[in-house]
Amino acid sequence: MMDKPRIAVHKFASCDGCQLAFLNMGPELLELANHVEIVHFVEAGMVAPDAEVDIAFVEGSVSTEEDIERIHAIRKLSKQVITIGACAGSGGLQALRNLADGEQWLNELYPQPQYIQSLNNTHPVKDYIKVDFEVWGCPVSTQQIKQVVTSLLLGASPLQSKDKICLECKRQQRVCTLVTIPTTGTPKELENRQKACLGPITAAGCGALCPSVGRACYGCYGLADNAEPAALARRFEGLGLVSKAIAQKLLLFHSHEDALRRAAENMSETQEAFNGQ
Amino acid sequence: MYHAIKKKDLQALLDILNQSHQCVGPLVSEQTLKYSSISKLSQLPLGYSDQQQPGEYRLNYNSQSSYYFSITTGAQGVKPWLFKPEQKLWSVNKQNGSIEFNEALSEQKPLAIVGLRACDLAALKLQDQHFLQQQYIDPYYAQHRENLFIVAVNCHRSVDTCFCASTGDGPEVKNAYDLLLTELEQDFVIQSGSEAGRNVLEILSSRIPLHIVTAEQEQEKQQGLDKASQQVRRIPDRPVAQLLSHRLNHQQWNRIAQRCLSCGNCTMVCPSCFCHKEYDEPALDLTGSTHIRQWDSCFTAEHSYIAGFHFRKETRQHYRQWLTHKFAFWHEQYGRSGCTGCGRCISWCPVGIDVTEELELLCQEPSCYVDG
Repeated sequence: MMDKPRIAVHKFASCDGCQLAFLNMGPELLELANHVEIVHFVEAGMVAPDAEVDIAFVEGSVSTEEDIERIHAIRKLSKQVITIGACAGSGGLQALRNLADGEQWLNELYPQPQYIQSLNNTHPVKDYIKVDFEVWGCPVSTQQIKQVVTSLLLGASPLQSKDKICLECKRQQRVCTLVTIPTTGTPKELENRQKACLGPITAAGCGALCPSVGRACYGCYGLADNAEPAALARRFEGLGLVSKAIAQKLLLFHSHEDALRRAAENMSETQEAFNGQ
Repeated sequence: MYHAIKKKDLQALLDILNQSHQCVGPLVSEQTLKYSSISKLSQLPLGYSDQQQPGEYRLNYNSQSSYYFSITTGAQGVKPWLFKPEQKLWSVNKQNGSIEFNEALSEQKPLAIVGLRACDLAALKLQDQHFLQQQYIDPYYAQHRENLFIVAVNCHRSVDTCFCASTGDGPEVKNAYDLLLTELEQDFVIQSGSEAGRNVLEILSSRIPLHIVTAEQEQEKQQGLDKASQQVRRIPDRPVAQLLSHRLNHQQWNRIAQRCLSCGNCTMVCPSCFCHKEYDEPALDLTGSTHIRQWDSCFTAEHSYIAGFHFRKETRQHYRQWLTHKFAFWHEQYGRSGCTGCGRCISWCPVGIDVTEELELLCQEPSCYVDG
């Protein structure tokens, strides 16, 4: 029998939520441990950051000088590098600072900014090293992690579907929050007419979580394939949203995506939206 | 032979169907209409009606109304009950050095569906053509289709997105039903359209009074259908199939692409769209996997990915593929257009693209368009 593949889970600038997708497997994590050797996973108690591994999962964005060195080292130690989550994939929420003056924010937010050692901009992992596979989500789900790991263990390429949320939503026969106008319910529900849902441009994978409870998708799974953010932005204008609100919606999680930036930049007042002017 | 029954007596029909079938009907759920299990007449949306516009759907309620079937359509009709959004096809297991394939079909109670409209049933015939083709029978579709019992309903009103009158598919239900209801102010007119329907009608006659339809009732039925035929939308009265297939470089495709999100909602709600993809879900213990079929759409990037190449990259091409397949190439494939005029693609398009308006612009007389 071959040696079990060795796995590491690394953390960069992030909230740790994606790593929970492993821990949330519960008893299935023990089943997984029969097939892999988890050598580095600080949140689960294994610490061996310098060990060579077959698969390195990376959570978080690259935000400091030290992060840059560390991500290069991980690449050298790992046969495959797989990013998990919005931060590692496109910079995540904290990449909003790339739209502003990082230096200025630092001085405004911290009483003693000289102790903060962060780069002015934060970057997705792929900006520094070759990434073999990206798992999208904020956070990624246990289901996605299981799918990726089992596929790799069986020697198959993991599924990489970046279809739109709408397909997932319609397959479940959920009600379209962007089309349906509520006519019964509490005054609050009635006040909420059609919702500015990002489902039509957002990649599936979450199971249409927010629309399935009647909320608008806010785009945490990243941009879908052949998405049309500019056309959706125009539809949001039709719903009565001002440019600033639309730009903020588009850029919240994945401001590093060129297509989203272009769509947001085409809306007027975008700069003010991020400079708080 | 037509009969009339009192509205409250529809309960007896639901009772009969529920004895032998899984019975589903059009219920109000989450601000729209969804087909779900039904056993009581009181579950039907008495007093509700729908209002549909491009990219808009709303339900209205009128406490004075005596109508149970005033909502024309929701986002889905019969399609998800036969061609399932997710269907397990088979599973495979590794055992003692060999692999074993297992069929995923399991014994199921036959399905009865109440409330389908003329457009839904015309689309059902299109799906039958696709999934039950000669020797290529799809067993997963066939399983529910074979014993499907259909209680159809004639529309007594249309909404602004309906255009079944112009496709020739409605509003009157003409075939593919077991029983057909026409709702009047006080009664239902009921008629059978199959052996199974006649049998159920006979059982029904032993439980409730079936009246002979009066001339007034016949007139009221016709008035309802006439009213439903008054539709504001229509497909162009021109040779759409020929015109479209010669206008693949029409400028209007670019204009549509300015608005189209390529989101695929039109294909998901279309009662005749049948595209799907398949994938495997490996078990965590690595001893097997499940093979699953899932609704797909010609608007996804993956759908046009073949041999390492995306042959339809732009939204213009995705929309053109959908429209020309539905209205032009469907003729060659199945002998008619793939559209039955239900208008779902108009209402449920998040940006309100109106297929009838686009066809009108694309099929205008040559003097009005620039090809290039």
